[in-house]
Amino acid sequence: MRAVLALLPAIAPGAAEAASGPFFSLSNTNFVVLVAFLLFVAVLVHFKVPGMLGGLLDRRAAQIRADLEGARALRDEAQALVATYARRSREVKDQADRIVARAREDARTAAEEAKEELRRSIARRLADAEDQIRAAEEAALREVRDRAIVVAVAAAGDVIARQMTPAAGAALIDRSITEIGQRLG
Amino acid sequence: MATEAQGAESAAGMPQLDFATFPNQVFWLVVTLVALYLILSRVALPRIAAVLAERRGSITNDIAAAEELGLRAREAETAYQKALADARAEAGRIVVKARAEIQKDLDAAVARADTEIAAKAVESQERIAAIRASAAASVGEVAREVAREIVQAFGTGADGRSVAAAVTQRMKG
Amino acid sequence: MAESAEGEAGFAIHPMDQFIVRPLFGDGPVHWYTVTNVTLWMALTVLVVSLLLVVGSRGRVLVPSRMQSVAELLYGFVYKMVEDVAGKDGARYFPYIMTVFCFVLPANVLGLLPMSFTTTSHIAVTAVLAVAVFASVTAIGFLKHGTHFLGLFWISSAPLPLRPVLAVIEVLSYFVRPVSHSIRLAGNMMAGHAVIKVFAGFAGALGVASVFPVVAITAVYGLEVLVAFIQAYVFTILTCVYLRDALHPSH
Repeated sequence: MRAVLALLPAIAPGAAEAASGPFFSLSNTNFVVLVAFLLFVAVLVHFKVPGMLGGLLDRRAAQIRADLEGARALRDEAQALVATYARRSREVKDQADRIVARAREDARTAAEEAKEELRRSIARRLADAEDQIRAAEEAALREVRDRAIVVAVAAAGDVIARQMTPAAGAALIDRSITEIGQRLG
Repeated sequence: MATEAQGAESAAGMPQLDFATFPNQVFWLVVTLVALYLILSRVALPRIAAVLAERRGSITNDIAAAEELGLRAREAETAYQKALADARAEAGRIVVKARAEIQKDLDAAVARADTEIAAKAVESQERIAAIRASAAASVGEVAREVAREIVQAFGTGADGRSVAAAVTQRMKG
Repeated sequence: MAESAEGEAGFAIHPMDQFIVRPLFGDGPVHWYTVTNVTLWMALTVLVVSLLLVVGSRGRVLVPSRMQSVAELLYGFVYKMVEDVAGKDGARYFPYIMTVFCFVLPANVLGLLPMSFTTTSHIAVTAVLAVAVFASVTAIGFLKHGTHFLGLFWISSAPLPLRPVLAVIEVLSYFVRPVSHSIRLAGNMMAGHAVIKVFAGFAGALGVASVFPVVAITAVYGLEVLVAFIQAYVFTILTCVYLRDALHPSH
């Protein structure tokens, strides 16, 4: 603009000549108009009109950049999400395998524990049963022995009673026999 | 209006009405318009239109791509969740099956143990019965033995026969 | 060139001198091919348009520079005008209308420079533009609609007896269009520049008080900037309106 302005007297000789006399004179209308024009430009600059217009254009550029970047960000975000799920679905096989393997392992341990537990409980029951049987056998044996002794004592009593006719000795003998019976039992 | 004639070059009235200059103006105007039209239609306008279209296209492309990718992400997510759920269900099935198998083993083992115990019990009953049976026989023998010793202990001699008879008598009673 | 000694004393105001068409080189007569100040200022118009729209859009970047932004805004402004006024099918005439706008606006604005020559202040120039628009639009109307284009003048919504009368008025006003179209632009441009020169002529005789005409010219400059833009806009939008009538003649 300014460069064009400076060139004006040179490139518009006809116009310059139209107004007569020296150029830098108030009588020269071209000079007056030039002064007024420069004043007008100065007023525009003073009120920061060029800055405002520039700011307007810069804001437009910023808005466009924001729009472009917003759309790009949206796309990148979605891309990242897809990548995340792609990675996860690649891992999901392993994860599933791990879950199944852990389940198998757990089941196996549980089975072992249960078997162990069962083995112990069966052993306990068998032991109990054997104890009971042994006790029953012993009881049976003791019973037989007790009976044998009772029978023996009674029979001995009978025999002795028959042989010791004098009645006087009878009481004593009875007592002795009881004593022996007690000692033997 | 300016009045005094200032020679041929000065404006006597309105220079706009100086028809002598019309051909010149029209000629140069036509040249200018053609030049402008060519510059605009060949270079400037297609270029600016391309930039505007590219900008709009870039934004709509990105947004469309974002939507499409979002769709794919949602699909991937459902697939992922489904795979996980499948794995869990599979694991659950394995556990149930394993438990059932174990239970079967356990039941078998318990049954085996039961029969073993039952067998033992039966055997023991038999043994007790045998003990009792043999006891009946041995009671007499033992009793005779013990009775003879008791009698001997009292110093009264006694023949085996009478002792045996007494024992037999007692056992009957 | 011209002596004007006697004019120095009083108000030697020659506000119309700025509109004189003269050869750029030498002093001879103005032939149709002579390189004149018309040639110079029209060439400058082309130069400004090229700088703005061609050089400005050279980067073709998605985030525009200031120059490219201006180019895009001008493009969008005129394109939207064409589409809004002339309709979607008017868009194919957009390059022509853009050419008109890109001639008138820079010519008007360049005319604001001191000592410049305002090509659009000449009736010969604006008349050629207006007649070109008129002829093109009329041709488009007939080519597109044949004789139905005459329906533009037959106001079927008016009472039947009135229609012939209205038709005469419509035809007359249709032919007046290029006249008003061209004179509006040339007249507006000429008037402002003449006023500026008249004020400038006062300055020589007023001495210190010449501040007033200078300030007045400054104020007129503000007005003239608006006029330059508004007249370019009006000329272009009228072109679009005429184009719409040609594309959609039915009232």
